[in-house]
Amino acid sequence: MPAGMRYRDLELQDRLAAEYVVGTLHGRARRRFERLMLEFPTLCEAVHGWERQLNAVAAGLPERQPPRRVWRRIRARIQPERRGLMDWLGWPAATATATAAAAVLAVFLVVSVPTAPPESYVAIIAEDATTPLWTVTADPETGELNISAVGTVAAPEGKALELWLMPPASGEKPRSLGLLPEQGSRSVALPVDAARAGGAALAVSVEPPGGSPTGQPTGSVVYQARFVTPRSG
Amino acid sequence: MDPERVQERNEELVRLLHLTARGDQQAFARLYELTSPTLFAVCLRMLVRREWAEEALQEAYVKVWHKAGDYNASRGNVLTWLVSIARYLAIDVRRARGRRPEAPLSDEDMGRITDDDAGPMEQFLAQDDAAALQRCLDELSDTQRQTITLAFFQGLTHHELSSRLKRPLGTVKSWIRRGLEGLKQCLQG
Repeated sequence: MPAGMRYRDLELQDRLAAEYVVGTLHGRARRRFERLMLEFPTLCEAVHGWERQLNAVAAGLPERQPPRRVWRRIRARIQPERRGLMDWLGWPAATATATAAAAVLAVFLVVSVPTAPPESYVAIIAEDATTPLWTVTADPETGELNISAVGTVAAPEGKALELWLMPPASGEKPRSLGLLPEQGSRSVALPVDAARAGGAALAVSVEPPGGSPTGQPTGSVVYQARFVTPRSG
Repeated sequence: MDPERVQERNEELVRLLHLTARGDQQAFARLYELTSPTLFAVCLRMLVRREWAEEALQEAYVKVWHKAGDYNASRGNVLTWLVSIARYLAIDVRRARGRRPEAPLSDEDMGRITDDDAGPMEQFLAQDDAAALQRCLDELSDTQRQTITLAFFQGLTHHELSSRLKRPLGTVKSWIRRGLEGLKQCLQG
């Protein structure tokens, strides 16, 4: 029986939906379930039914006020400005790997952090000006680089998307920042170069599953972005 | 809170969400102000560590900003929909970060979910849904009820439940499965 067939059993669907909402469906089963939701509308309905029942109750917990910094971070991530587009237009030629990027338009947007002192560098990897795919936040204070999928971004069938920190000078090599998450977020240690280079560039290449076997980009570069130098004030 | 007031409150959130979907940052800020204390409570309960809860909360609202247009009434009221988003992100943060400190058991974890001293937002949404669920939880066996509420509010995995309750994995899984079946029947009945 094909793997997907089992999921047409409505009772089983409902049971899995309940465990998905409760959170006891884990790991690969959870990811597989999320994929199947795209395929089977009845699965979505079952999930929504349990969400309405159970999550309405979760919302009944006594309120807790989050710290202001959470809002500042959210705002920083949703206030893209187009500043710097002209800089970008002249940029791809500067990187050798970028010449393979002909097919895909890459856009980088400048994010401002108006009130808080500059906490981190941000880059947005985007399909176009209105479709951000990932945000990459480098926080020199914690030494962490956080990569978050804005929506769900699927790599081409049988391939993986790998993120690279491009060298500031020619003659140096790109450094892998690992695979891009298809959804959710992932944190890696912040390379020292990225921590000091506010305008460092990023590139995304298509690689075999598990990432580049050579430690250098082997496939075509499909997206590019650049960290934004934080502005003060 | 009387039903009319509840309705009004949800309509206000629907309005803000609608404006958010059109890129209105002020409306989004107001939506955050009204709903983030509830979502933070949910994340904090599941993740215990404040920085993880803040991360989940942040990701939740960034997602809300981008997905505001996806909401429709079939998803329940707005707050329920927002809580669903926050819960999934909290589950993901939890899985990505691994172990977290153990939280003391609360009333909810023991299967007591309705609260007489509820604040305005919780009353807003508690109403009928919570009462019905409480009634149905009460019909389950103690073990079924506790496993489900622990998994739900604290985001414990099967393995964590098994070690927390000192029962074999298979037993815990079957408590959850039977408990959820019981809930389903009761809620439909």
